[in-house]
Amino acid sequence: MKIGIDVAQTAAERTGCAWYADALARALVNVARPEGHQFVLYHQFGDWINGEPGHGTYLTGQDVEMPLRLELPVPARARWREIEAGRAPLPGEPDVVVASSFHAPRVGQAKLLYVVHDMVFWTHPDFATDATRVVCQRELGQAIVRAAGFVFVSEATRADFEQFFPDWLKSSGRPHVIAGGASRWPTVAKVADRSETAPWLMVGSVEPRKNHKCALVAYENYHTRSNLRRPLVIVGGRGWHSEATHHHISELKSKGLPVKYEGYVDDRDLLGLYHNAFALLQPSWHEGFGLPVLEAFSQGLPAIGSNRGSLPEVLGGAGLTCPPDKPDAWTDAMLGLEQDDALRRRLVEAGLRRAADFSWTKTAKTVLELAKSVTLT
Amino acid sequence: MQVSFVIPVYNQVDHTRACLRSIEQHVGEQVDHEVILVDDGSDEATRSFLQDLDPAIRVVTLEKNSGFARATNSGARVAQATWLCLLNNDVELAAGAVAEMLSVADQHPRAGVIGNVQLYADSGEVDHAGIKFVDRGYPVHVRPPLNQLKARPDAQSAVAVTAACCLVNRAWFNRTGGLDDRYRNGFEDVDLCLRAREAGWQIMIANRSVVKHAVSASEGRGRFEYRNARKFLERWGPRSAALEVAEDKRLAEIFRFERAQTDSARESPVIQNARTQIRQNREATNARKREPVVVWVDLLRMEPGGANGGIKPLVYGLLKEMAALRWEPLRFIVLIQQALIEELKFLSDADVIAARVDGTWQTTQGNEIKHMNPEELARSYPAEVLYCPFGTSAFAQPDLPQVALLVDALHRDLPAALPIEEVNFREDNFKRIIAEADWIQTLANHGIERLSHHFGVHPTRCFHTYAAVQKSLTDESDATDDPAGIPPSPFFFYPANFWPHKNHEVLLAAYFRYVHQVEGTPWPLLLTGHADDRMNLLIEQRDALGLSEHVHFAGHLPNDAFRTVWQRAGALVFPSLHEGFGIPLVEAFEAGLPVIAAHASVLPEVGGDACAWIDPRDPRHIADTLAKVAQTPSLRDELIAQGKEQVKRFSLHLEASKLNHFLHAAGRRQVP
Repeated sequence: MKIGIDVAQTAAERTGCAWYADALARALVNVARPEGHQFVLYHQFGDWINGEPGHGTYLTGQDVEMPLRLELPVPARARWREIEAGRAPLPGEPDVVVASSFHAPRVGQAKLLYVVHDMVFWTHPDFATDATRVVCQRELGQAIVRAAGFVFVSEATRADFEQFFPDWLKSSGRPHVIAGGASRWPTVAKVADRSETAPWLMVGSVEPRKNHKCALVAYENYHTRSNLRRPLVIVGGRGWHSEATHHHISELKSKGLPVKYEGYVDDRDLLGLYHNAFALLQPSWHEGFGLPVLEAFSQGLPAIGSNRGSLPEVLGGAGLTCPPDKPDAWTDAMLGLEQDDALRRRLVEAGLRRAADFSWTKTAKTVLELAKSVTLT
Repeated sequence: MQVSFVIPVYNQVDHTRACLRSIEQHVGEQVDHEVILVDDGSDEATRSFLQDLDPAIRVVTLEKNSGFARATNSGARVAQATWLCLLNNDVELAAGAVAEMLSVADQHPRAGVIGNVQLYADSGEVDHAGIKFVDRGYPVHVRPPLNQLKARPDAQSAVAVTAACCLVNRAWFNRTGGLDDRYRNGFEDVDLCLRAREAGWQIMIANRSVVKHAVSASEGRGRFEYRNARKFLERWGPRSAALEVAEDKRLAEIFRFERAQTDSARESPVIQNARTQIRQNREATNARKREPVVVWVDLLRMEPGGANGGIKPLVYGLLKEMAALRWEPLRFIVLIQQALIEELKFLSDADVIAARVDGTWQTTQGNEIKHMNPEELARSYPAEVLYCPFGTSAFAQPDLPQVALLVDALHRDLPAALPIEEVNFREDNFKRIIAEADWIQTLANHGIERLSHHFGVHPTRCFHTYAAVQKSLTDESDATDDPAGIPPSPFFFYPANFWPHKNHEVLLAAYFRYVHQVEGTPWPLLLTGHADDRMNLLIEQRDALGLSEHVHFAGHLPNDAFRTVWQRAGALVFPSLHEGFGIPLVEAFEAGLPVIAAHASVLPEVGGDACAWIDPRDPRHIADTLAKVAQTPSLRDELIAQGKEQVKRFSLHLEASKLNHFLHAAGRRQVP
């Protein structure tokens, strides 16, 4: 079987979905290679056309083709229009294509597997731009027509989908699987002790959905009540409507609070932050999956997460949960975690165990099974 | 009834009493009138005074003090006469004041606002004989000495008049939304006059109509002067400055003309000749003013059928209506593709249809058909103004005044809805229009705001004409045979081409949810629009969702089939994310359908209070609203009644007059 994998997102500044696409591509190749399958990676996919070629997931091996990696945007767009119109074949002519960038183009004879990361554009309209929504809803509509199978990144995302299309998965007979993410890094063998200045950490692009406001308000209260007064480090690219958050950060800074915005950091720096931080805060209003939580767990970092979206599912009881609209609860949780060393140790252990519940190999196997089943019929 | 006096009252019982007495004494039986007092949150004493008044005087009570504009507007809404007489309660009419203004109205049918002469109540000096602009567009009262006024004619034009006492055409006043309540006790009258001017009305002063105004008694004006002035200049600054210059020129010309007439006997022959020349020029100008302005209308981008969406009925409607107007005549030279000749047969015999055939032009005027090359066309019908409903035009020339329609700024507001090439094309188009056009037409205030937001275009360069409905679409005549593909009544109806910003995906998802939740038989859903690839995609989507029985695609409908649909549909659902105007809303109001519409883009401006509003981003909210409207007859009745009210704000005649006025003024190089 020849498996096409959409890695278009990985060529831009990476968000959670892009990391998912990247890791899934790698894991799929690792899992399916011994069985003799072949792979085609698409760095330009459907309407997702990257401006600058040459970036994105790069895999080696004679069984991996990357036909569009170096294709410039204008010819790439023209080529995809030809493909969609049925006038040109899909390069590599795979049997199945895993679409993980929200796009669902026509892929000729191949079967399309559509990854649903989240339904935020409909469940929480205020947390997605109109531009995102117009694209996502158009492509989801196309997926409903074209996809031979669906991959949901979490049970919560599947429930969101069912909320809009009740019973449709069953009545239409489309197969689907739940295939969550996992930490990119192996679980650490020994957890290093954290210093008294180890910071609180927040990971995720700065946009309204991530609810930085809650973390900042909670942190300000924490700072007045705590003896240790650990700093707060915020990591993530500048998303849309991030001005308010940046304003809030500079306001706290001007009051002398140790809040630091690191911007977008690359992989190695992020790993370093996970190793040195005290705990992760994830107060999002909604997540489709919530990768940072598992990554933190795998590096021996406890997490406090919001009780919305997929987070309770991913935390699986191994972290603390608080409502995202109650900063006071967050302050209490932060102080509790800081003052109760036994609790922290317990959470670190639970986190390590929870991280081990997820693995990219497992996810890739699930997706591979789905791919096999749709190509059989 | 001839006149409705609308008098906002905020305390000042004595003045109000004097004002009412002067109406009784000097208007009395001569003029058929009514008096409407608006209690603008007055104190107890005033309130009890108002309660004891003659029951023939209507009193509208506002709970709290809302200022002159809102008070006047609420009074005007209940008025019934042809003319509103806006009146401050500290004004006293003198004998014949209203009769004189009415006689000016009779002699000048285009007069929309008529002011008069106002004297200070204490000193008896002139406070107001019109408003002029000074210091680059700042409005001030004209205050000539009293004896000079006597030499003036009974009526003369002005750029603006005060609303302390003036007549305003009621129908227009209410349609245009009345006085702008963003101003507080000042400037709203000048704003109103400039809007009247835009709509093609004349502003007149009745020099024989005199009232007394206790100016110092009006409270709460000075406090807001600065804020009002800033708002006014932001909105009108450049235009009022241009009017100031134009008015000065006009007055100088009148002065020279009058002097040439009176002095010609005493001058030397040389000077006499010069004066004769001036007079002849002036007469020639006047003669030219009565000639129609030649307008080239560039419709080469108009396609046969429905591919252009709502813009075709809109442009045709405006052209048809303008062709029937009597004032400021225009002669249209319409440039089109050959296939569209038949569609334009409604033009008058003086107008010319020029169809492009292989680089040459085939002109049709009445029954006469000619063939000419581009140079001959330009020579035969020399253009005085170019009208471009599709943005840029190949016929633009540096010295040819140009009026262009920009329907929406979709490519900036929601670029994801368009292919990248289209975004680039439109951006280029917009930049050129903004650089070249003399006047930019939009379809609502929202469009003017977007142009200002994205491109920094000053609102003074723009004007809007609402897309009012042609009556033919909603004719009461009997429906023709059943057009194909129309579901049984009642059904939800969404007419829109299948463009991404029309949001069909959300509607399908919402409808899926509605069908699954509703008890009993769900209303079907009818989607019409130009058949294209995306329609086929949506049809596949419908089938994949298992909605084939419920959702009907009918393609582009011809007019008579459309009429049938309007008569049979149960409700309009309009979840579009972005519109320049949203014509179907008005069509539905006109057809007596309840409307469910997206609270987005321009739609709140068009729909007012008459729609069941939905969040177009949330299928759950839409599904709930569909169910509510389908299941609640009382809600539908309420929406229909509100729609009937709302549709009164849109008059094709009014909007066409406005466009006509701008085209005419541009051709004559005047300030509209």
